Amino acid sequence: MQPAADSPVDPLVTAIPASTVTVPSTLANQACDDGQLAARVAQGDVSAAEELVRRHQASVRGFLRAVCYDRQAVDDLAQETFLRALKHVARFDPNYPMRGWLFTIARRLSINHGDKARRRRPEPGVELNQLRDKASDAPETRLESNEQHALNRDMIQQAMTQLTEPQRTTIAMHYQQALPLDVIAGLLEMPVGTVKSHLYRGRKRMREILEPQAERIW
Amino acid sequence: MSKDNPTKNDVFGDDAMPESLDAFEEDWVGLLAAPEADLDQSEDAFVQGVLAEHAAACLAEPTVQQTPEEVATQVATEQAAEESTPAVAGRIAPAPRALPYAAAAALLLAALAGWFLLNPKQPGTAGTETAKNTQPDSLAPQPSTNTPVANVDPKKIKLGKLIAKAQGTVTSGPFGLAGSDDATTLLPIDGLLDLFKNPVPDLKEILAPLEDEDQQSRA
Repeated sequence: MQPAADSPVDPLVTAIPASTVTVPSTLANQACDDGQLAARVAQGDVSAAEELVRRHQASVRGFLRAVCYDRQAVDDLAQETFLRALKHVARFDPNYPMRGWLFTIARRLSINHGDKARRRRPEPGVELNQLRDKASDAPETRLESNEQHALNRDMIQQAMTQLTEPQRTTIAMHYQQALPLDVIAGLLEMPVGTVKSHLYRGRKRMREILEPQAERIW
Repeated sequence: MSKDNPTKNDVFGDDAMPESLDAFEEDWVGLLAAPEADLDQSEDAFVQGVLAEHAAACLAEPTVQQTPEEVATQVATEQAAEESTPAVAGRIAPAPRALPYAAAAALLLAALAGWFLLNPKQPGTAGTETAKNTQPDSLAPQPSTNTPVANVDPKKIKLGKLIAKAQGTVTSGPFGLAGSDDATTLLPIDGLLDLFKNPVPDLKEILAPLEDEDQQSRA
């Protein structure tokens, strides 16, 4: 994977210079940017590895929830993502966003796993219809707000599974993880225009799937 | 190209796809980005699980665990591989450099005799154990200060010339056995014995090129 030539530093990660005062390693690691943290992990700093995982675990797990066919394998894939990242952290380019680097690893693991998962599970449309039926129950059986919220989220994620992998990945990276288009283009090794094309088609397809049920969903 | 029906290879300009989401899209994108409250593992459990697996992987990498049976199989395989190699089986005769000096002398004498038998009337060239002849290779008789053939002690052989040649004191010239018409004064037999009592330090280095020359002359 080659980072884009003009990739900006991840805008969501603030580069904070490391403190020169002796502080506990946990606080010191929290003050490091991803590049410094990766360097410490490469030197065998276990606390830095913990900070790295803790800092990005929510993003990676959320990304995998959005792009992975097999939702039950999300945490396993997320763990495998971090294991591979920690093993090869010396290869991380600090000029590149750490989250994007992790997403690239996670995406590839998800693709490999998805090929197997698709053969085991029923068609995604079947599960989406089941969720729609549940959401359209009579008002007297209306779910609690948090349960409805969870059901809606599941429906969105099921609809995502009906997109192509590039569409799913670009939508998750841009709209869920707020990565800039040029960064996504560098991660996926495709032109920015192609990224936009995938986003366009993905949004259009999502509208086709969800709009008929919009009133029932939210 | 139509914005509503893009083809596979469409490349969108900056104004082709709206960056902002409409209300409908905002809703489902918001749900997509919402933090998961029903994750299978808590954050702490997930993080500790990753660190435990990573530590285990780091410990496992430096060494490859093998059962005793696997070790025995590997050793047997390596031994079989060694025995099957030509060098161990003695395919190649040991190089002259590895020969003991006595064996080297025997080889030298055998080469000497063989050459004489194949080339009985080769012109000789001058050369003694003390000669410092630096003439280039040539079959033409060279001015010599050696003792004439008739005065050569039969016990003398041309081994000294061979040694001198190898040492660079004589660069060319065939040789013959003592008593031949083209025999030249060479190392006396006593000197020959001395040679093996006090072998030339680089005798092994001398023998190898001489052997090559012998093979070339046979060719």
